Amino acid sequence: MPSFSGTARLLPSPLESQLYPSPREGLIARPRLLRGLDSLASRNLTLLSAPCGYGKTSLLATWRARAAPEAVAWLTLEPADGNEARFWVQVADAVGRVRPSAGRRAAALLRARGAATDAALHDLLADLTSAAPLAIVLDDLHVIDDAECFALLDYAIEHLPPGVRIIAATRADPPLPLGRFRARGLLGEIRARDLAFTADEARQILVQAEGVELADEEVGILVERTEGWPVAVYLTALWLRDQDDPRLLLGELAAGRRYLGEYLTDEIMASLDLRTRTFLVRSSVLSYLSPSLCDAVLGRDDSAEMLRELSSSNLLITRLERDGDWFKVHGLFRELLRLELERDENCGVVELHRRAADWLAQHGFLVGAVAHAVDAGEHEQAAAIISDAWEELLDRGDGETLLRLVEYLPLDVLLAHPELAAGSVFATYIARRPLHERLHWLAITARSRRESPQAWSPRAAIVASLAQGIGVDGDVGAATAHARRAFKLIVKEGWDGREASALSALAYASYLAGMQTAASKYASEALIAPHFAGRPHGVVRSLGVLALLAADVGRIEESRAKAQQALDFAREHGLSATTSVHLAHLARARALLAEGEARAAEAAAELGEQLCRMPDPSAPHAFALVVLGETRARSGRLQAAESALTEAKHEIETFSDPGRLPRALGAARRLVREARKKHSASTERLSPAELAVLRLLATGLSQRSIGRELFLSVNTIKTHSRSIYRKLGVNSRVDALARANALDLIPSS
Amino acid sequence: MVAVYEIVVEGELGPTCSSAFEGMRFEHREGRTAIVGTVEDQAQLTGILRRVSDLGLSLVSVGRVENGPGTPPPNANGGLQ
Repeated sequence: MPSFSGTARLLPSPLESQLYPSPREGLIARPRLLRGLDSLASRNLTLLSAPCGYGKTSLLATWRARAAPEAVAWLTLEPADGNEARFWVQVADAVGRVRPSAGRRAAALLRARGAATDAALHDLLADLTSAAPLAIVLDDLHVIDDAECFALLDYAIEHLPPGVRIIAATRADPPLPLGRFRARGLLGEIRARDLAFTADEARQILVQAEGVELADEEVGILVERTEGWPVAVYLTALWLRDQDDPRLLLGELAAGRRYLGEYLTDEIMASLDLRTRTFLVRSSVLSYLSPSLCDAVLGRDDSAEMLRELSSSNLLITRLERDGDWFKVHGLFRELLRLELERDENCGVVELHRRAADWLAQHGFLVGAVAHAVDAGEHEQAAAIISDAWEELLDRGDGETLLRLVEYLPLDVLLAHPELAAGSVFATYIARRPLHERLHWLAITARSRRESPQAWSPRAAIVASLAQGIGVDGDVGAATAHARRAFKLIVKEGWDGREASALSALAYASYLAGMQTAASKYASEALIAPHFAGRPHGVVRSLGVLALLAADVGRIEESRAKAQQALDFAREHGLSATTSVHLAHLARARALLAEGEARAAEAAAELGEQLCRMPDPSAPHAFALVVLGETRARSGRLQAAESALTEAKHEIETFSDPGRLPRALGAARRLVREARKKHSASTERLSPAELAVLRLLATGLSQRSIGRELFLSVNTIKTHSRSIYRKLGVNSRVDALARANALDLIPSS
Repeated sequence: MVAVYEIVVEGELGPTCSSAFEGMRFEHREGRTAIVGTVEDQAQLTGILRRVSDLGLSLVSVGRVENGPGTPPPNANGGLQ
């Protein structure tokens, strides 16, 4: 269970990560640090590592404001980003906000591939090449807790294209090989000793900006006492600026030994009027503040005014950049305010959280709403918020958020709300989570049905069945049964418009089971079901099934037309990177094969395979591998074909009911065997010596060099080469190498 | 393992901070504060250290108090209260 008191993210992504501080009037410019950041531009990673209150975020905000807007991608990290897939999607989205072409494609790819593999990350890095010069700012890196994330970050830092840099702000040195980075010149560091205020900078704040009357010597004493800790200097400036005798108070501060964060906050709070004090303390439950939210939570009507006043006069409340009025209180100051709140008003806090949950839920900020509800101990309220939203989240294809939300609920609450567990089953499929997570949620769904029969709803049953019908996993027969059950329930319950979803699932499951007629019937029915256009995934899937069926019986034109229809429809509805469209690609592949376009077919099959790749073996994916194998066999890439088919075989072996897949696999393997026979029949076998020469020819060496390598004379090499050309039926080295590749005679690099 | 720990930080902490370290007491020692108390296990200790970092406190030392006053007897229930 994640820990969430006050640290939970308020706003649903992607909105939340668009929030970054705008640089403030009243903050000093710190030119030496800005120059420092610029001077480290050639380093792959610039690390700002210092405790809270050192002004890392402000510095970066200022630096960003001075740079070209498309040159800085900003991401403020949160604990929930600590999983490899989510982290890199967030990064890609952040890049996409400033460089639409670069980031968005990568984000779509990463979403499609689920867990970020090196390959997916590689694509992102390749995309970034076109985005240079680019700085990616990762704020609050210390909240990331996941070893895999850091392993991939390590890889990314080592492989960043030229002109791209990562700047990370953190409160603790990250678990990255900083020593290695340093040795290779990849790392730039800005640490506490750099970020600490000099006497000069302190004077700028206190005397020049805030008009506190202090002599240089006194400023020096302050800097010594605070050790230049920026937040302490700011707090001191706030405290002293309205005082009659700043010198005296400063003297007391310097002489004392109290922890400055607490001391200064206490003093400042004492100097504020009750209205302001109450506002600050009570609003500290909120991570982000808006006038409307504060009014609702605090029961006031003057929050707009308060926030305006405070943010213009108080250096520790910043306005954030986004649509609408959003503000944020500085981390340490807020921490101390929350401690104040905890001390003074214990019962009041619960009510504040409850109201925050209400407002946030009403305004669509689900994660924050649920977090606050749980903080208030109101698990029922939290469950209700999620219940109101789960259908829409699934419709939007947002499995991730639903899975995050349900994590907040204790088991007993989940068991009383079976639709949440059932929805999570579906969400694991959408979010490409491993099979064991789907099984976990299925178990909870089953248990909640047993333990809370009165709360069991037909919709829960439908969603759970539909998830298994679409996902298929390793049991084609069961998937067919689930899809059929879902369909019957949908009709019985009258859940309008969902028939197309169930019918399309039934169509594909039937296809995988080898039941062509049934598949055709269901797919066609799906496309005339009521409101079928409101189920775009269902439409795309059904068209894909029909396209496959047409290709299977040689109706190539029809197959191409249907596949194209599916792809166009998918694009119009933003589904091009989802699993549902993989069938259309496979159908295209088969159609292209029939037209003799093996290479294009292979490309289409590859795309289809990537789009349905899951963390665990699944029948759709195994099928895609078989089709991929076929296309490779036909284009003569026999070794690659065998590798795809072997992978398919391993997956199929784990299935409890593989449907038609073993037959399809068998047919594909026969294809490969025949291709091999054909090639070797038309080719006399090369002798071992000829093979050795051929392999060296592939490296581009001259015949003389090859002779030296093999301790043979140039004439011998020439003889071997002639023999090789004859046996391969070619006239030139280039053609010989192409032929050799097709026959897999040369190990690929 | 339950034990009494002493976490020493720079600066004298006051009452506001005490709610950040529930169940622990403060001992002021010449410009520093020792946060002393019974710690259930390593996870709780890590949580305390994180709070120290969240407040921007400078950590001086962390140590287990052996045979100090108030060292609790071994847990007779074996956990799971």
